[in-house]
Amino acid sequence: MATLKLHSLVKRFGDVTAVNGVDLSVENGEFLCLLGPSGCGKTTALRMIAGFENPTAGDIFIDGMPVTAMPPNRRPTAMVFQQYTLWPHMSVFQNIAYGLRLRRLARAVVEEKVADGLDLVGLAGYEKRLPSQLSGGQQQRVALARALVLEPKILLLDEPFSSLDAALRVRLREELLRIQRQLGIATIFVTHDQEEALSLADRIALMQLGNIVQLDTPSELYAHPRNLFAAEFIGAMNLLPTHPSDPTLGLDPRTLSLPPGMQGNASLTVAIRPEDFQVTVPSEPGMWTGEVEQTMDMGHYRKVLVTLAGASAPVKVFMAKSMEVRERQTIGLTPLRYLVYAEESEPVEVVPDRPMPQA
Amino acid sequence: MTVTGSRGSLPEPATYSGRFRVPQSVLGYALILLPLMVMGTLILYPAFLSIADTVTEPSSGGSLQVSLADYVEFFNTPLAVRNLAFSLRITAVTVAVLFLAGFPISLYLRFTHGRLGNLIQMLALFPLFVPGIIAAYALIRFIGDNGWLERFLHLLFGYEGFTSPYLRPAGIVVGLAWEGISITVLILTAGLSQIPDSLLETATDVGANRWQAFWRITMPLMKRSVLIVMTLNFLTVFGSFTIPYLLGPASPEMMGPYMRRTFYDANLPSRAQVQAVITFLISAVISLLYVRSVVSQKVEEES
Repeated sequence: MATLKLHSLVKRFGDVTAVNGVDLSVENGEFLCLLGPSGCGKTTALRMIAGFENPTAGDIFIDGMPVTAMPPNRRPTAMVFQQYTLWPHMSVFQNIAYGLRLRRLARAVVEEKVADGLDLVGLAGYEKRLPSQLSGGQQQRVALARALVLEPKILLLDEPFSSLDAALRVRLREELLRIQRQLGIATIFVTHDQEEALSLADRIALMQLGNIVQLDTPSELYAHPRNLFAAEFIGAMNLLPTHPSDPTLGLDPRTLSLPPGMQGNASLTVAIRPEDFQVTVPSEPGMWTGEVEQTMDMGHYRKVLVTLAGASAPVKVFMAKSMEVRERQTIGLTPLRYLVYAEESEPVEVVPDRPMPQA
Repeated sequence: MTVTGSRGSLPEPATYSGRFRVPQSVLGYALILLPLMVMGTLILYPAFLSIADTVTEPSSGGSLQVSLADYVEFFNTPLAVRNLAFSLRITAVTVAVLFLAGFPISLYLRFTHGRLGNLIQMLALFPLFVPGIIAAYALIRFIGDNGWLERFLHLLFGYEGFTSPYLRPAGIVVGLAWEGISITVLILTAGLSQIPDSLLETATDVGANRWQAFWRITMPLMKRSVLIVMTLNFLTVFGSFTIPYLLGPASPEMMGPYMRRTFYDANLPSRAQVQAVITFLISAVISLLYVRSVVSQKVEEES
């Protein structure tokens, strides 16, 4: 049971700044995801928390105690790596028991804890196997058990499932979440997979170029991405550059209400989620009119690419499968909810049926 | 070949026609046939003749009969036994020196990056490109009596008690260690680079200090590379000639120079043959260890 605080954490490798002043606090029992594209500094941040990298500046506190100068073997953290995590010359039992033995626990205690750990990850009875006799998913479960038996205050995971196939990844995610809730352990999970982050995290710290761009709950991050990077990175999003007085960008200002304070802006971007369109066939006056370029069956919904007159790229639209559309058909689109981004200011959410907020 | 066809098709390449297809296995044997023949006629056959010669002797009736008399004689000759023991001792010491010198260098090269590392790597590989005989004469100039080393010690520290290892057993060890350090560092560095960082980081993460991680993770994972390097070094050192001939004492001597002296100077080819077969058998036992460790690695990788 513990909390973690990062205070202005900086890491530079030569001229490259990998982590650029990160402030973060993780609460007791919280599941936090560090999410971002590769090179955004998320793994470096995690490695600093584990003690494998020394911060260039800043401090790390666990339960209020500074651990910045502490080597990894003294820190109350445990980490699960992306791959090559198990020692190939040791059995599953020896892998899990190693950390316990270093703590000079009695043999009976070690055996009991290893058995409990394997139970927790659903691999009871695998003690004698060698890592080479396990599947990738089983290996990562053993790695998780090895971390958990040490009863760390903070559990760190560095893309632990990214080398596994999709179905297994989803199953292990569910299992990890169950274990995390059961133990109530503060957990930091690094991933570049936004779906993984959305499904696991209590809060997501979205990172870009060494900074935390937005720290929010998954639903907040999805509903109100704070900048265009967040808007594009989380979920599917249509980003339409526009100008209030320039209708040639394909967005007829008559049908797109912009917040009053933003109408004087030179450059605006409208962000619309694919599921936030109402589709009307045939198109009616006052709607955006476009031609269906492609339809894709996505299982429980349909993804449609629609070319709007004059727009540079087609817009993505998610629609119910109950409605039939054909390729080359002309349809009408009405945005039900969108965000307007102006440079260097908070985005404004617009829901046409509701009164316009002030920018 | 004329091809007539309504579609004006191209002639089929001969290798693809069903009738003339060469089975892959035959092709494989054909590719190794030449080296195999060379090995058979120039190495295996004469070797077989020599071995056969050492275990037979003409009987009174003129025919050949099996006899181990030559070997009994070898092991009853004090000089021969002394030379064999000397060879084994020098080999063991050199193999140990090479490992003790090469492993720290390899560890350094594996875990540091930078200019100093590159320089050390270059220096470690340098002996690979120097012919043994040149190295031997260079070493004579360096470690010999009134050589560079002695003069340096005198000039810098006023040290007078220098005893040159030249023409002493230590001279052989120094020379062979110089010759073998490159391959030792190469193999050990390659072995170390196959251990991913994450395996060692995980060890420190669960509480091991560097020393514990080294003994419990690095060393067991290096077992095979160490075995390979030791067996390879054993084979090259045990069968070496140039360095012991030029840098070693006249007596006792290593099997290489001993064989040569028996063959040319003493003009006793049949005894030299026995010495060669004994040297070969000892090397063969060590080769077997080497081959076994390489094969088991292959099997593991394939599974």
